[in-house]
Amino acid sequence: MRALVRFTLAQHVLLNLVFTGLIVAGAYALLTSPVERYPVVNFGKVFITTYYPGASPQDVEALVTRKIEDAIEDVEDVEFVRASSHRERSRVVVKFVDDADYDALYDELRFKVLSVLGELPEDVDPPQFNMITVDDWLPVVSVNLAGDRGNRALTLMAEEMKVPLSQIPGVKEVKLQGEHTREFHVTLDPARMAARGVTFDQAAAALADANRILPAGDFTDPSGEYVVQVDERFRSREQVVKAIIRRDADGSFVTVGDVAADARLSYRDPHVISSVNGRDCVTLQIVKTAESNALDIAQEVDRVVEEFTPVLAREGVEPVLTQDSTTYIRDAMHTLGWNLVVGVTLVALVIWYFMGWRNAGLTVAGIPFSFLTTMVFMHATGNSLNEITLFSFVLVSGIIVDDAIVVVENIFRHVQEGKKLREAVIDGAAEVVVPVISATATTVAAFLPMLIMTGSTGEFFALIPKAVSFALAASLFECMFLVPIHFLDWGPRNGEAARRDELQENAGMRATRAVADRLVRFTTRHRIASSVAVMLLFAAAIVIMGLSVSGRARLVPVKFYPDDYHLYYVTLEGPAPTPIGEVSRRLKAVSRLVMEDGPGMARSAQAYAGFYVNEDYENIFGHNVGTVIVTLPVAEDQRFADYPVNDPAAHLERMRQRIAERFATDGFTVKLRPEKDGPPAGKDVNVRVVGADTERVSALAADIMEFIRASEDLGPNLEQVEDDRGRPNRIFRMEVRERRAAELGITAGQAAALAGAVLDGRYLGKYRVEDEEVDLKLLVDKASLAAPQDALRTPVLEHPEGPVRLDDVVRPRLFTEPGQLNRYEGQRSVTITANIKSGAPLSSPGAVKAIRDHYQAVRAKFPGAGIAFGGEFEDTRRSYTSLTYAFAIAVLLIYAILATQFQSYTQPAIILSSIVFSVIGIVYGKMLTQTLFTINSFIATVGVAGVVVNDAIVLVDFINARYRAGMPRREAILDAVRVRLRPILLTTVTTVLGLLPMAVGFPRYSLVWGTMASTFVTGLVTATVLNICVVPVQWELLMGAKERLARRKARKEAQRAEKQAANKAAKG
Amino acid sequence: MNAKTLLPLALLLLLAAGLPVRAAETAPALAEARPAGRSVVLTAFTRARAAMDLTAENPGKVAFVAGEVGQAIGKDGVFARLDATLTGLELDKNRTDQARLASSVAYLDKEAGRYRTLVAGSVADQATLDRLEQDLDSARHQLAALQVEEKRLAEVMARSTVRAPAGWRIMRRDVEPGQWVAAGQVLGRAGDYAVLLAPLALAPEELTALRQAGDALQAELPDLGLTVPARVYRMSPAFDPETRKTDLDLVLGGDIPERRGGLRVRLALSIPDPAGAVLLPEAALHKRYDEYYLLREDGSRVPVVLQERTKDGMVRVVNHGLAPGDRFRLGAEN
Repeated sequence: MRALVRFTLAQHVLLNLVFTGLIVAGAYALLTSPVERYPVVNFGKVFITTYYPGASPQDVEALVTRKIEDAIEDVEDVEFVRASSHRERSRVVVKFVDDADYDALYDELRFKVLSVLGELPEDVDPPQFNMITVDDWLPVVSVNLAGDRGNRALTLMAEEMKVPLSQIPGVKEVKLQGEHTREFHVTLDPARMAARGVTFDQAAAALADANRILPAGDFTDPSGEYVVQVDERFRSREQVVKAIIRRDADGSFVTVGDVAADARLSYRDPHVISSVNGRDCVTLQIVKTAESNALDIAQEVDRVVEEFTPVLAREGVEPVLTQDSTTYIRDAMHTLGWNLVVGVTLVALVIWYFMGWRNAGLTVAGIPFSFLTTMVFMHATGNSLNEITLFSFVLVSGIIVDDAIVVVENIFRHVQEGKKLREAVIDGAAEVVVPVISATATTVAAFLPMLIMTGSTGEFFALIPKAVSFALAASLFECMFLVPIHFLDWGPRNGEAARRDELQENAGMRATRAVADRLVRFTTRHRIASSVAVMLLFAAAIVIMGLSVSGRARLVPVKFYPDDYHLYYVTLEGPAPTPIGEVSRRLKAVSRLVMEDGPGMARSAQAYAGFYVNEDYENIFGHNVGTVIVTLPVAEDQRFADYPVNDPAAHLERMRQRIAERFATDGFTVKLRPEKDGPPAGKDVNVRVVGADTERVSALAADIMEFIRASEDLGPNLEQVEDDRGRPNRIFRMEVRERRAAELGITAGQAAALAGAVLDGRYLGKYRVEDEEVDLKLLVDKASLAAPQDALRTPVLEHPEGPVRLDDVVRPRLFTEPGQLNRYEGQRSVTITANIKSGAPLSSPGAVKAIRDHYQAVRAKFPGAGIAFGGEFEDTRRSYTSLTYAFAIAVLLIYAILATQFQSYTQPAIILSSIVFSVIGIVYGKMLTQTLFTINSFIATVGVAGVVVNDAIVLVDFINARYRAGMPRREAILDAVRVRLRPILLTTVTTVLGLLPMAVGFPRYSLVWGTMASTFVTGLVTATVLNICVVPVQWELLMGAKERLARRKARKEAQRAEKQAANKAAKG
Repeated sequence: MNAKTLLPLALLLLLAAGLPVRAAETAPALAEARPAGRSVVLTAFTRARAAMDLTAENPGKVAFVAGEVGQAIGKDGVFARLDATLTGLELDKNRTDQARLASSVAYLDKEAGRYRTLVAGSVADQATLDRLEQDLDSARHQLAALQVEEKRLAEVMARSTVRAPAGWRIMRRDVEPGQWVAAGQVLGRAGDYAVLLAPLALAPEELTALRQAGDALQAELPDLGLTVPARVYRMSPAFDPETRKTDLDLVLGGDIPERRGGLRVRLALSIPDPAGAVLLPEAALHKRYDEYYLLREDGSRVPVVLQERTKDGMVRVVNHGLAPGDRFRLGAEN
């Protein structure tokens, strides 16, 4: 190693050039790296949505959903196929096996579905495919054009704006959402039809006949070829109203205009109505390319929006920006930046205090170098700067100075011992190179197994080990190759009178050393007692954590994905028959109420009538439901009622009460919940009833629901118990009386066709507008249809003595049926979900067991139906399981590294006990501070495991060295502790101080990073103290045992030798 | 007064004179919404007021046909003549027989007169006188019969000429001279094109609109490029169960140079629109982003649905709350 350090010192020009080059490259990478909120992750899920106008859930299932299911049956690598059939819509979700070739599978899937297009009913719109990636719900920013204008006008304005937005460098796509499908509606007036003796069918036939386009081949004359075409497609309202239904005299006709109440361009009944801040809107979602910078794009979007604002204002339209990911990125960078500045300053001050300003400068210089070098790696490997990488940087910010501290401290110690500077550098660096490499390797080993995490959650988290490993590698490079030459050039010199104070240990360090010495002496005197105490503390910590995670006792507040107070959802649900328009009206009123409070309480309120987003990010459709997504202002702009406290939870509670007071009327229910971070994990209890027999499946589902409600163990402890059969639809079915129809000279088909069209119209081909062809729909004036029964008065056949009306040939039936039919893996399914109430003495496995037991008892009653647990959220669960594996692998890897370094099977166990110490610190720290234990805390636990072993490695390494040098055990320990105390404390204190601003929220608290930082701090501090006090005890116990073994062995050998000697003597 | 005083004064006067002009320029031109009936265009084709078949009453060979299809019947009303030679011969014979009988009557009358004197003088027997008297009566009766026959033959002779009302136009000619025709056979058809009618079937609101037009009713003859006055000529009281409309004929007045059937007649009727559409000059209609709107006097926008652009530069628009009499700005929005 000394040769290596010597060689390094000889290459100082080259290394300085490398140092400068990496800093410049890092700065370039920082400026040019893609910036986005989250990395683009493909979820391996494809949504196939098909629109079948006018069809009931049953028809949709039989004629569309099942055909699509059959088509994709033999696509490989499919984990599951889940289908739901709603009114007029079929939705098939195909989940591919994790980490498969999603693009190839997507192409195959599309091909298979499109090849059965001919088997779908004629009226069906071609299926739409959507492979879900992060971009789908997290654009860079959304520009909403809101105003009291028609959807068409808003759409055209958006189209106009789309052009400059698409031209912004780095924009991949600008998605237009909220555009309603245009249709040309001809509305017939029943009174006028009766006056002229015209039936709906006659009008429909006339329109269909007049609206024709025929390719008529071609014709060739000497001048060339003509394409012959007959194009009578309607292009204007006049053409439609002039269509002749009947000729009465020479040219006295009955035209469509004679019997139409209205004819105009209108919209298809929307399934979703969107609005923002209480006004109708269309939305432009700006999606970026993988390489571009969201911040730059957002700035350009702002410029385009600013340009358009006066033009839009003249039209009464206001651009409203929502889903602004850059807010989060800026917030993250701001928090990170300030925390880094404060952290680095504190680190520098501490190092200055213990080792003088030169050492502080040398050490702290490693932080920007490591970050910038990491940026070079990240840029080169095509990774972006996003919330995950920023999180990783914060996580690692306190660790990356550790290596430099160890090296600088050791060189400094040698300088203090009076060696010449060059010799001190060579000896000091060479002495710690192996432990430093080992320490870095263990930290990397702690993080790297996270790469094996599967699924989309795994893809998200994969960036953490990458960023951490790059940063640690950069830090290792810096401390091995750059710190020695920098120390030589800039470090403190021995014998310089002006810097004497830097060379002598200060009072603080002396006092700490005294305390540490006393502590170590105490624990080594009470070896067994201290070891047992630590074991008991660890056992208690495990029990505390177990109780908290299972929800039996909330000693540590556990919430894997805590509420994110960036936005909250207000969900409205009306009685089943509530029309979507009414829901939209109420949602707009809610939005206005929210926005009236001013920009201090809400930045925007985006509303969607027709669906709401549940806790698992799934859209639950229904015309009677809707949701308002309220974006809260960034922390510094918040002015809640309790300002300056600004407790978002209290604000949400206040809003919940206000909104419920005004809008929970007429059968409407109002729910309000904050957004939850993290991937969809499903509810606590998720039971899927599946089977081929629809009735049995429904019956078993009902039985289980009843059991859950009635059970003393489950009922009181569960909340939000619901199934996924959707909101019930009221059905008005008209059944044709065939015989009666035949008596009246009407075919059953005629009667059925009219019955099918009279309430919701009939599609009769296309109508051509300038830029597209839209459906032409013939309807009966709704003004004459107060109730569905009124439609029965519609004449099927006109006769002077009285018409034959629809109610002469059809029989009406009114009933309700499920609004949604679900299938899972080609079988009918009903999924029952529930959440366990907080603090309830019930766990998910407990609930599953109870339901499984109940099913076993009743299964004989429900042949053809069975139950399954999980399924949909297996992906997330698998990810968590693999994270646990990653932790185990990390421990094994660390053990392997240590075993190799120490050439011992047992000593690594002592070092690994640091992990136990950190767990003790984390659990008690969380319990005492009552801060949340989140998924980030879990990752921090993995991370802290890699760090805490470093102190133990160096300590044990030094004890071994002293012991091997012939010192007695106790003295070896005390000497090693004396020598290693300063670097151990410094690495810990610097890491702690690096994270402390974040843990305590100075200058700003981030829920995401605060929990991570506090975990790190409590784990590290506890582990460091215990490392100093308990690791030597364990080492001594181990070495004592070894010595005893060796002595016994030696004794036996000696006895054997004596015996042999005695025998020999006896023989001799 | 020097130039220094005059100049500002002149400027002030100019300014004062210009002010009202400027004010007049800035006041927006307005248009008033008119009720827009729904325009119904009915088409009919002209017909003769009346038409008749021209039929042969007697069998016979056609001797003469007076005109071709399209020609008017002459003042003598003759369309065709049948060969009446035989009838003439019969008539001649009849007249000869009549002369002979008249001679016999004269002789017998004299003879009977003589015998009457003789019998009165008892110089002749009564029986001879009676016989003579009977012969005389018989001859007289025969003569009367021949006279009747003569009349019949004369009528037959007259009816061998097929006639039509003078001035009517031959619509069809089914015979040629020399052709033998049977009694009752249609030889042609003639119609009265002096009065042109246009038949229509009208829905109740159309009939109301037609009646309301009264004397102002105008019919367009697009084939001739004419617009002529029209009035209801006759109206059927019958109910047509198929159409549920009223059948009526319009008579076309005016100087129509070509009077024939099959002229296209176009009748435009404006019937009230229940949707409440109004008519405005096209300059009052503005379009932005596929949405049409009008500007009230105060500049506020009224969104409308454009139903139709008429040929005379008007637009027919509809919206709730839009009423005839409302005033709207003309020209581009500021």
